Amino acid sequence: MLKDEKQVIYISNPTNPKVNDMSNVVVADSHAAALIKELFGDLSSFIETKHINKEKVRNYEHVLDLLAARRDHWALSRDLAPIDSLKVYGAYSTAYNTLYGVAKRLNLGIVRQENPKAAKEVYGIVSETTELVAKLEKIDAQKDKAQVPSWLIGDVFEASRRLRRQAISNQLIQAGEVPNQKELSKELLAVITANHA
Amino acid sequence: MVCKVYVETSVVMNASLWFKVDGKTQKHQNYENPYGLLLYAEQCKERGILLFYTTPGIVQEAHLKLEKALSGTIAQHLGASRMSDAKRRAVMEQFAAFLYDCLDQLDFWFAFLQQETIDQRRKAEITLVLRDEFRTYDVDFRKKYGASIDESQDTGLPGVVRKAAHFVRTLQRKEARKEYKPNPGSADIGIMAEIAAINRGLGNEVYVASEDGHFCAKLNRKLLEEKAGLRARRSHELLDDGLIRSLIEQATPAPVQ
Repeated sequence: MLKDEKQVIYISNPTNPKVNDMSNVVVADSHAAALIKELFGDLSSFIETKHINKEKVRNYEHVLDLLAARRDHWALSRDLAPIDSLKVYGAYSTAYNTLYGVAKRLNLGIVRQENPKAAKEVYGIVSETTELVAKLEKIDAQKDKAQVPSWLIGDVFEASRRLRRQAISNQLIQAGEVPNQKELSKELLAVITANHA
Repeated sequence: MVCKVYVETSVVMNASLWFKVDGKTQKHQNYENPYGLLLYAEQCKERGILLFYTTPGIVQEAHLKLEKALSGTIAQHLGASRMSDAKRRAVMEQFAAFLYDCLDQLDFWFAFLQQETIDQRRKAEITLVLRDEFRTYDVDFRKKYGASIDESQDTGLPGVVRKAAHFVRTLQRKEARKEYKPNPGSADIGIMAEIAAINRGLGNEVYVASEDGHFCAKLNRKLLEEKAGLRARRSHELLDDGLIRSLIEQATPAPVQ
């Protein structure tokens, strides 16, 4: 997979300007689940053949761009109630962060020349991510977002929680610390404390 | 006689609300005692001691309360009309992290608490009784304190005086609520009824660990003990007098000779 260093750096760069380009969302709409399924297939064949195809690296990059664009779209969307938007946002964010962590792990595997061991380690997680994105696709496919059933949002969120736990235990993503969380957490504590006073 | 400690929503919530910010941990103001109590629950689970329990209603209510708190706060934040897209994304990221972490922590604690099946018919019967009793207490409470703690009568006062009046009434309300906390929600009554339904007629010694005044204010306790046989206690009360230790000793099966 991530063979030459130039590509590796490009893929691992989360500040890729394409991420914020909302035109990606349009392209992505018909592709998300298909692209990530392809990615999963690429990972499987890589483990089997131990052969890195440079073109496949581009696919990984597309998937990350696409997930980031979708995630950002949901951050700004007002189609659903804020808590539901948050759940969908969280699911996309988890899928993105997990695959980003997977990319870093694969890079490390290449640097240490221990692939496909690294690929085998992340195989299960990429499989879970594929399932999550397929579910997210169902939400995005709904034209009238007000018609998205709440059970589907709940289902997606629970799947993202499972994926996140797995990704944390595999050290692909870090739990907790987010910058500027202090004010928000103070405010939330105040709300919850008031409810229990 | 079997001793049981039911851990109510507020205890699990308080012990789940902590975050790491810049390497420092920020906690709920009443975090320590609920956390200490739940550590005992963890120990008991590890040692196979059946003492700490919860109910489906408590689990559901904890998740709902967390979502409700988040819903309100997030709507407030995102409602700001002049928020930039970048800021909006940052807010979403923070809230998502908070939601994931707190839900994981809630589930972590619930894993140490036993759940039993509930006779729904019996629960419904007890719910009706408790609701009626609380209504009576609510009426008495309003008769006693209604006028003195009602802020609406301060409208029309000049600014400074109104502020002073607000301060005094807040204190009065706090004091009054130590004696009785009115208007328990249907979820609270449902939880009380679930615990009572599980244990009715079994002669168990049942404690309810709670930080909520609807369970622990003086008259709320009295009502719960008289009508449902439940002894509501705050976490620190269970911890301070060594009560929890003696309950664990009672619950521990005698070692095999």
